[in-house]
Amino acid sequence: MAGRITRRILSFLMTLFIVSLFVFASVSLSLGDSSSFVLSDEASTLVIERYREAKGLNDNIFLRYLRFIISFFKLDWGKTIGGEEIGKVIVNRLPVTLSLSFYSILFSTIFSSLIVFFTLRRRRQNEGKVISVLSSVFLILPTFLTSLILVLIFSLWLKLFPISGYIRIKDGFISHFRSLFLPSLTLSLLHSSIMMRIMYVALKESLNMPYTNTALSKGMKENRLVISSSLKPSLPVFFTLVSDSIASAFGGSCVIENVFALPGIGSLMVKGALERDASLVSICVMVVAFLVSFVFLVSDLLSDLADPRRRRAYEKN
Amino acid sequence: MRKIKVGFAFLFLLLLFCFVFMGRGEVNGDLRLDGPSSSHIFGCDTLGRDLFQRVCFASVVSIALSVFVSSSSVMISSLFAILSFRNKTIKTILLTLVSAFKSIPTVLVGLLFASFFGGNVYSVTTALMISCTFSSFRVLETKVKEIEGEEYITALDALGLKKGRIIFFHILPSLFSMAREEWATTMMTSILSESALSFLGIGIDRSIPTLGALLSEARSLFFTKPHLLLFPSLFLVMIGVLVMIIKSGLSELDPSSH
Repeated sequence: MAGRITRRILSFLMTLFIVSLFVFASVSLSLGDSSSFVLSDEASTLVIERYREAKGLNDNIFLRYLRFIISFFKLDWGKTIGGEEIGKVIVNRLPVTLSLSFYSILFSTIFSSLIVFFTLRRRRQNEGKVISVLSSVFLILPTFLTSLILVLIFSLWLKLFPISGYIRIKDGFISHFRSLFLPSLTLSLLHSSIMMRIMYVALKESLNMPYTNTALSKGMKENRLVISSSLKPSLPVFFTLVSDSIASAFGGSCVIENVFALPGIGSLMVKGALERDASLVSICVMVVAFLVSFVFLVSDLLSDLADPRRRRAYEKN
Repeated sequence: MRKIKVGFAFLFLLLLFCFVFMGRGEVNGDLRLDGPSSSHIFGCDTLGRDLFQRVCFASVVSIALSVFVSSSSVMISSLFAILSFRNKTIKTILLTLVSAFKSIPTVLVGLLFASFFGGNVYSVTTALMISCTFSSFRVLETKVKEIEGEEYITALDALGLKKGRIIFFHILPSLFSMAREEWATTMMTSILSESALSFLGIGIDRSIPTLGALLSEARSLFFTKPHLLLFPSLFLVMIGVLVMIIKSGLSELDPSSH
């Protein structure tokens, strides 16, 4: 077990290393040498040389990479084009995206487990088809379209939720939740397309196991059977699904935060990309990649904890 | 099989239809934001250009780009998957890269590239290709590993066949069914990601209409001028449904998935 955990952590660190290398390489490739656009064209070689010396551009690439990493871990992330501290901006904006993804995963979990539960309960011939059609519909609808449709229905016709904007949790939970309801609902439809299908397969598999028959013949109610004896075997799948959803939440939040005017990481990155602020976007991508790979690590360890079969399979190898 | 034929036939017909009618439309101040009429069946956009022509153009761009991205990335990833067959070094390197790229969503790769190289066709295509290649490599590599454990491969080894021969005549055909399914999945991802990126204004060049860009134009006006939103989204959903039909047909064709 200990060996497995160390291996997982090692692969996590490897991921961080590769992502940082990728970001560093693309930053230095695209920007080239900042002396060429900070100094004017007529600057003498001496001035250029002095500038390069002062910025540490003359050092070899390994040293520069090391410096980049150290400053990243010291949270010294430099400034945006607008002159704000990148670290401060990200810290301000991260809670928005995190709560958005939290709510969306909550919604999609409830939503897809309800749908899967009821389709499995009804035991129809074509239950698999219902799931696959529903999940395809949710996948095909692009997030920006769903969000506009939801705004039309819930904000303009029913007037239940605000059209856009974000209210902090400090200013009252109800209004905070209301401001994030529609964005998270949109995002949750995207997640549930995948969640539903995989949950269905996992539950179906464990319902077909011999122990289910035993439980049934001993007189266990079907409702309880679906909930109690099939949920636990499919827990690892659930952890994987949640971690995958967090990853896709960061991707989807770019569009959704833009549509709903939420001040999160996604809209920050879009703004950065539009302004061609490479350092801002690359730092954001690195932060997101670190968060996501950390979530993957935790979910891997949790599913090992929940499923003895996985542990045993590892020990066998 | 029927599903695949129907899907491909309709996708091809749609492409042909759009190809015939596509155009950038002419700027005409008098027709700004006109609703659908007999001369302009989809109405006109903010500059008075014919929306029908622009939607057709955008659909062609969308289909062509996604076909290119999915075909090339599946080909590259199949190549990688074959290269990693019984080659531990390549496999480890590629799998580490895959796990690193798994933590960056596709749209973010697009944003990263757009911020470095500006929003143009090349940066969008490259970003999508990198992201899609790694994600399909993960699927195809699992399949190759599965095939590796099959008894017929052991039998071929016992017969003394060379590695290259095993790969070309025995692994590639088995991999093919998975690769074509992955092709449809990747196509879906690339259509959606490309339209999301152009919706955000960092996709392909502004002078070329894309479905995402048309929708982002329509966004601020959609309560008063719903036709601007309706027609591009109709085409986007139509393409998506066709790709989905092809995908489900391909997965039904695969004997090992049952």
